[in-house]
Amino acid sequence: MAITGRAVALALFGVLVVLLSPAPGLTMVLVDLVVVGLVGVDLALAGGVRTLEFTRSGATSARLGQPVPLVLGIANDGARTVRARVRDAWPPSAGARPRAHRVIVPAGERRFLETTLYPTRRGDREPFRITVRSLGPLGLAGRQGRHHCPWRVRVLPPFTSRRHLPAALARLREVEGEVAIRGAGAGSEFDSLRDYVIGDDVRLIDWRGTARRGAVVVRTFRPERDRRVVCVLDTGRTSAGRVGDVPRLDHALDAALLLTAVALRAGDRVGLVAHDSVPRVTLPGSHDHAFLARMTDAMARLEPAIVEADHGGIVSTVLRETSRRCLVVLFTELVPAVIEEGLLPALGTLTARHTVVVAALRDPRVDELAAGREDVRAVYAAAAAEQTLMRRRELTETLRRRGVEVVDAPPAGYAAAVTDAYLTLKSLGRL
Amino acid sequence: MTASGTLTPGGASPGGASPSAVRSGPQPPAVRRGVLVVAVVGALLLGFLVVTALVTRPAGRPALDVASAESDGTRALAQILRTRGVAVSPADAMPAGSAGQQDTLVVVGPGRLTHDALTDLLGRVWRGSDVVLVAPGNAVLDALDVGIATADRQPAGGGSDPRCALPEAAVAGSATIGGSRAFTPADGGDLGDMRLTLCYGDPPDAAQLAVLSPDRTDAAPAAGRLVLLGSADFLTNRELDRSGNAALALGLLARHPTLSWITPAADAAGGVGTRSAAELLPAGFRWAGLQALVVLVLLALWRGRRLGPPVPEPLPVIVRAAETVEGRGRLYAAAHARDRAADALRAGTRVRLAERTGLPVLAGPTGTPGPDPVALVASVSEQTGRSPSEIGSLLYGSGMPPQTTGAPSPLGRARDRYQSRHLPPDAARPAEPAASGVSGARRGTVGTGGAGRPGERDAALLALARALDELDRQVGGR
Repeated sequence: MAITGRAVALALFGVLVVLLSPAPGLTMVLVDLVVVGLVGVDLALAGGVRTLEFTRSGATSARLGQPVPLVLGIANDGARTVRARVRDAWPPSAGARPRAHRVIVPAGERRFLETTLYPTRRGDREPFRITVRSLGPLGLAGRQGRHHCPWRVRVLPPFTSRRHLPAALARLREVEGEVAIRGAGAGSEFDSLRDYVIGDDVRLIDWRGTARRGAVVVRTFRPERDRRVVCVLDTGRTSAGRVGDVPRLDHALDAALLLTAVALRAGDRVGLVAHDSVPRVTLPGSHDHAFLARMTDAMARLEPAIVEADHGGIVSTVLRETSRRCLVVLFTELVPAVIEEGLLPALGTLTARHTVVVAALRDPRVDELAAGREDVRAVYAAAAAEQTLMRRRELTETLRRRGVEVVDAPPAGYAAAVTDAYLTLKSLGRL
Repeated sequence: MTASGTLTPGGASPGGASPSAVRSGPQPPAVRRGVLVVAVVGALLLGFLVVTALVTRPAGRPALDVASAESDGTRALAQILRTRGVAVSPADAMPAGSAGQQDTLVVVGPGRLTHDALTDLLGRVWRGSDVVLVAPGNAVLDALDVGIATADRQPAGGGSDPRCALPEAAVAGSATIGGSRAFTPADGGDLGDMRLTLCYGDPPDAAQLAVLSPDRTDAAPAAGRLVLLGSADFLTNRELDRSGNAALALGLLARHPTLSWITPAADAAGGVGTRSAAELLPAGFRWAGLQALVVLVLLALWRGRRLGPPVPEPLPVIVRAAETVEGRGRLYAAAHARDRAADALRAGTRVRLAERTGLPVLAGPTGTPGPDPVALVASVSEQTGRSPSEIGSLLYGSGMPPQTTGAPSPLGRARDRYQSRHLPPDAARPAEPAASGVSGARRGTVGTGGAGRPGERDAALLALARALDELDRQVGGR
């Protein structure tokens, strides 16, 4: 039960009556009895809350940043009209608006309420509880009760790097030789034979074809198709660090999505592994175009885990998931202690079977700190930042010596840099 | 303000600092509403002050004051009494009465007197004094216990005739006593050995003047009297010359050579007729207060009942990635780790310069990547035109550069040119990146003598950082 402002106003009016009454004590008792009586009558005449039935409909997933319109249906199976305030409660990060609805549902009828979610974070969002306050005809008091009506809205990663997709695809076409400006020596996979023109490398002459044809022909090559790419996301503690306004993991998801979109278009198979101390998500390779949607869906629920990433475990998971040689893109952070103790010992087995790219996000804040010269404190911070950058450079060098490609880019160009590294490797035939 | 608009990876700000500065505190509409409320309250207060200032009379002499020449003062009466040889003395408390002294006491506002004072007054009457009480209320009459009460009804209009046998009244004839208070014998009241005379108004139901005198059998030399006036209007300057008012006043007040005109202080405690603020409120007020409590409870019930509980939000742990770097910087600053900081700054600059001049960056013997020292110094010196020894000292010096205060230097030209006042060209030292920073620091401290205070040496670090920046700019820019 709940009373409304009207009941309070009635009692407040009673103050005036008592003040002016010749018999104030008796008047007060009478006034309060009247208030209690009216509230009781109102409660008795209010429509039932339990006889309401709720249904939901609407979108079940949306990219972060898009509104999610949802409809909540209320059916009144009771005998009386229900005048109600309804709050469809969602977690704050779902951004449900409006907070509460006013609705009148006559007996035996049905009404629909529109709630729009404006999610502020990735992940699954479920409604918490529906609270109904059914007011009586006088509007003095109401019955209050709760209902549950399950639903789930999956908020997908925003894929903001989609804007880089046309440029990346243009470069892909260039690499594949579909456009006039041919990339030099693009690929290692045999494509076709053509007539020799002056300037062609004599090593490319196909003697058997020349003999059969009577004219000199050369072999042409194209980039390999049907290669394998595995995106490996490190969801350990280092991925929780916020760079700009989003955690590192979200930057990595964005870059992985762009890479996947381009690789699928290039005809490669893409797989996904997310791992911290245990494997979180494992999607086997696929060159199905619907894979991007599946991957987005799987990524939606990934959250950084506050545990140290087990790089040995990551490597063994990748080796288990892959049979043929593939490109392993490891989205992680270049933290010297973690990499030196975890990744480097396990790297040998990985580089022996696969091409490895380590994609690290460079924090612009560190560069900003390194340039600080305002006062002594800023200089000390700059020294700390320089030291961090130096360690990072050192680590990059170590990794490169072990045959690993390292991408180290600031957030603005991170996704594009990772995709560029992939395209470069592809054009060099190193997949 | 939600952060929904700023959740773009690699968003607008490279530093990531500005969008995270979200405005907190009240929203603009709430602020406007607050200002409006304050303005309305201020306007009401101002209006109240203005109205109060307009309606309040300037403080003057109170009514019935023997020194007041206002229309409601009694100066005229006092003057007349004095010419008749009566000494009139105003007082705000009961004069200490000595036994046997017979005088006249006029009490304006007897309700302010305590019960004991009233009993004392009655005693004076028995001892022969005249006591005149101006407009006593029921509380005073009850305290005196003389069997008189105020009349329920007002005296009939126009009753200005004495209608009694009091000699003074008979002499004065008609008088306009005024006021609305009248006296009557109390029901079942006991006069207590007093003789009662009721005059003016409508005696005995509503008399405006009551005179009680002790009914004593022993022949007292001069009997005292207790005079109750329904009003003192006829004593005022305005009314004194009307009808027989003056005669009545003189008859009542001039029987003894001294007269005390007592006006008890308004804030005297314990007065029988004074009532506290609570007693002055209407009877319904307390009940209304109780009802207000009920309203308060209902208000609490109304506002306290929420439409469903707060919803829990599982929040991910998100920290700024650069926080460890900033923290380490603060640690350096707290420990004044100048040598370590200088080494880091130099190493960073070396790598940047090497990248710019196209020298290969190799992993050094200690694992720290850096270019070949000799080649770097030569290349940078060539590009900037600065001496190799200066460059070498800047890039490969260890610890703090020593502070000099105007010591002559063989390389003063370069110093002037680059305004590196705190960085004199030290003796050119060959590259020794692994040289201990401690020894360098000691050299810096001892060598210059007295320049060892942390503040100054921090300033030296700042100067070093700026000098390195300057070098960086020279190589990068031109």
